[in-house]
Amino acid sequence: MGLFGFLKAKAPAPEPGRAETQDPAREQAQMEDLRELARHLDEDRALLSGALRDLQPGMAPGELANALFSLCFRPLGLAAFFLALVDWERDALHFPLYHEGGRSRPRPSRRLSESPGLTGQTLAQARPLYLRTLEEGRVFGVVLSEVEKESGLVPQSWYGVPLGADPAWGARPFGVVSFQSFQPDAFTESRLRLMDALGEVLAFALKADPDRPFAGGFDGR
Amino acid sequence: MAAEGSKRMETPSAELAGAGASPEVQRLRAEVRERDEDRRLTLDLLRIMKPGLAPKVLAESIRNGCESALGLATFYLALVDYGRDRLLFPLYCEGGKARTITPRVFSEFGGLTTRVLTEKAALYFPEKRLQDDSGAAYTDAERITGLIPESWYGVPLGVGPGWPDRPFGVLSFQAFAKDAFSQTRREVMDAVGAALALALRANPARPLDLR
Repeated sequence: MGLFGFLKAKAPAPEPGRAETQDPAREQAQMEDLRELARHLDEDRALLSGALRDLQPGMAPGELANALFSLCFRPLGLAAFFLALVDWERDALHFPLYHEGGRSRPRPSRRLSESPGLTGQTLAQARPLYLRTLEEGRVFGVVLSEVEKESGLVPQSWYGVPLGADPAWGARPFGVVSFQSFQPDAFTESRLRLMDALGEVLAFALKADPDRPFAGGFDGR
Repeated sequence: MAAEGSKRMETPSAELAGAGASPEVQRLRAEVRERDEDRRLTLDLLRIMKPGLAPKVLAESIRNGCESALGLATFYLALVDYGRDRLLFPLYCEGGKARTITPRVFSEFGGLTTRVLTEKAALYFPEKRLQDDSGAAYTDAERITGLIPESWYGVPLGVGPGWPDRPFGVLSFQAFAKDAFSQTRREVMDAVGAALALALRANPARPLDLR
């Protein structure tokens, strides 16, 4: 449901043939809904602007991922967040940043073909993967971290955005950024689209080369 | 994903126009409508950015995506070749069509584009009078027709600690209406400029530090 669908669902429609009621209680509720919506939209804009400002060329993958995490941790209510980069030739999955349990933790690289997990699924299908509950995650072959196994605190919602999924980047995606929450089905459709966009910004920042000539030369035609 | 963008404004205008609502509710609705359109516009424009596209192609895609929503009269992309002291315009759209602008000698050119490049910051001129005061250089079409956009906004490309000292270009948005671009609209244009800079310099083959 989009943002305006949300608003429509919350606000009962006026009776047919009647103008909107002037009932103060209804009007107050409408204004609260509108303010909530405006706050939500402002938050999204701030996230996009912040990502395009803070994710700079030349930063290491871990630094870029950390900058993105710092921006979206609170607004998106994240329990865990990671950046995975794939080395297709060596069949290896690396984690420049893996944030869970309130801090960044080293996560060992692993063989992609032996233990694809949700990240491998996202890479294989080259499109975002959204799992609303841990049960869904188990069906898709979730690989739990050591912290998750020990603490039993496992995020319910898992969203993975492939990096470089468009054929313009190459034959296969080069990584995945994952946003996770303890709440089941935590991410609305509009938030999923926002995370897609944040993934795109991250992909461009990872591959930005300020000295690269323009495609087609300086005239750029 | 395209569905969200293609439905722009249909639902809000139908649902939120509500006659009979109090002025405060109507004001809030208008505010939310503009914010929602800004958000959709930003997401749509980010989605069209692809690596390996020529500057003109990317700029045309941006123009097609935002011309109507932003009410643009003129839109252009300027790139600077500092080595050859040239200012080039891969895309310059005014009067409803793309025009060919002859490359200029950068060091001899003193228009608003140059100011954005030298100040390394976005500049907003909400009225033509302010553009004149700042040394605007008008195109032939503008001089002949007298149709000069009142609002002028220029975003430098390649600004920030990760970029070389000097921006490599400017993206300019112009409208006939005075003060046509709100603060939030200008933030959208800033975001588009930043994304365009990344897309123009993206190198899919760039090796990554996998640690």
